[in-house]
Amino acid sequence: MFNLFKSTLDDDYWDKKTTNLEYMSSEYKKKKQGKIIKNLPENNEQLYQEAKQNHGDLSFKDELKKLNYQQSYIDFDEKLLAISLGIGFAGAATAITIDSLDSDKKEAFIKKQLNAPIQHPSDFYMGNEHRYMFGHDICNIFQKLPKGYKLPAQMNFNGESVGGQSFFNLVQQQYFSGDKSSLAKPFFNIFEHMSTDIVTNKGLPMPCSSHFTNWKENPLNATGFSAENKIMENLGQQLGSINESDFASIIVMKVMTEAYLQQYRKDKRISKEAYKIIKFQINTVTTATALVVQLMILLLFSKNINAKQIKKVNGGKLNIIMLGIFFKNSIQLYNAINAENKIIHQTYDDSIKLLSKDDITIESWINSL
Amino acid sequence: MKIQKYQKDLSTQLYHFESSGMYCEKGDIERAGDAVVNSSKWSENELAQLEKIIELELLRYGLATDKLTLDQYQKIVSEEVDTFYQKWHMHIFKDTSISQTFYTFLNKELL
Repeated sequence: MFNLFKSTLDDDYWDKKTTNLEYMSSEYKKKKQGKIIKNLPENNEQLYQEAKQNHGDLSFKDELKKLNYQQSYIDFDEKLLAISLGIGFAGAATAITIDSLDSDKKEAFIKKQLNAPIQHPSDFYMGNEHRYMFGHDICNIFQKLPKGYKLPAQMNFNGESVGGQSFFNLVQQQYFSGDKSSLAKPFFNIFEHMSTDIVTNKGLPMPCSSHFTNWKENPLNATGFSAENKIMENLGQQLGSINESDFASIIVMKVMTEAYLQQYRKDKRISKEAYKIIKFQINTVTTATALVVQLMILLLFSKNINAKQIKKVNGGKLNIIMLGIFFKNSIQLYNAINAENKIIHQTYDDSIKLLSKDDITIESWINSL
Repeated sequence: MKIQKYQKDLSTQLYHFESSGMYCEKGDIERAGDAVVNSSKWSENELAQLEKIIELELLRYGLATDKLTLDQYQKIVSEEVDTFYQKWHMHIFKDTSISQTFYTFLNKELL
């Protein structure tokens, strides 16, 4: 298994190899000039000892520098690690700041939305944690209310019950009835409504979680139904919701990473492939750092109000979107390193063939790479 | 119809009229209602919504204590929801700041 962050070049091996090669090439030159040379030892270690006595110990990296050779594979060194950790911490700090920012203003804004004159179809289910059950899942806008779902007669459209209709259909009928000009309008309306909900502490449910909403007929309720969602119930707000601080921290980290990478690329003049690998490495470390810091806040500072509620701590949650980005980058990094490794192995094979030639010098060998 | 009294250990969710098949004690409902009224300055339509929520919660308590049948209960709930909508153009259980506050206080009473 190869290392995703550190090259596995053995410095000691390559230093010895360089020393031997330089010695062998100088001996070969002498032979070409007609001088008599003694037989070189066949054992590598003996050859190295002899080479060291005659030419001194050479460093592979120094030789590369002398020849102005640009390595295509760049180590994820301590400096890159420190910068990535810093960006990750900045992401987590952004989430904490946004969570604690202007809570009064946010509250006033939300109350205004809640008291809007027309009840938006996303709020047609009105029970406990209603957002986690219906009409708030960005990946399930065609979620349907159960057949037989009862609302006051005036809330039905053209006398047709809302039961059995999809959320998208309900939005279209409520706001754009008769307007066939654009199917995009209901989408924008849904996007607008969700963007007002996302600034709240409850936020929006984990994408796709509403596929697990379970409707149960309930003769005691006004609508005739109650709902539960085991996924959201178990994950709770801290592990299963998305809100504005999630997006803010991702944006801040993205901007910081891009700014640093632009400068890095300019300074190091690295290849496109190496740039891609460094970018995936940085993104993997930054997202992992932010995720861990926020989960640690949740773990260490939140307290249970009761068996079903946890006291919210600013920034203490699982950033689901960031988790997705982390997995995406990890896979991309694995694939990029894998591709790079194949190239390196091919280069090794070619190099070994070259090295077995008698007239090879370190310079011609490096230049052939 | 036998209805169970809401107990936090018996339910996986916090109590809400629209997501529970249980009932709350009269005293808990009334105390939560009083706490809401005293907690802020509410508008006329907000207080009207609170009044109806309390009325329906007490109606469910009445059903649980055999003061009326399920048919009578369902008929009244349906009529109240329709009448309220005609007057205020919203559902009684619409998620508003006053309904949120009421269920927060009620769940505190139920602990």
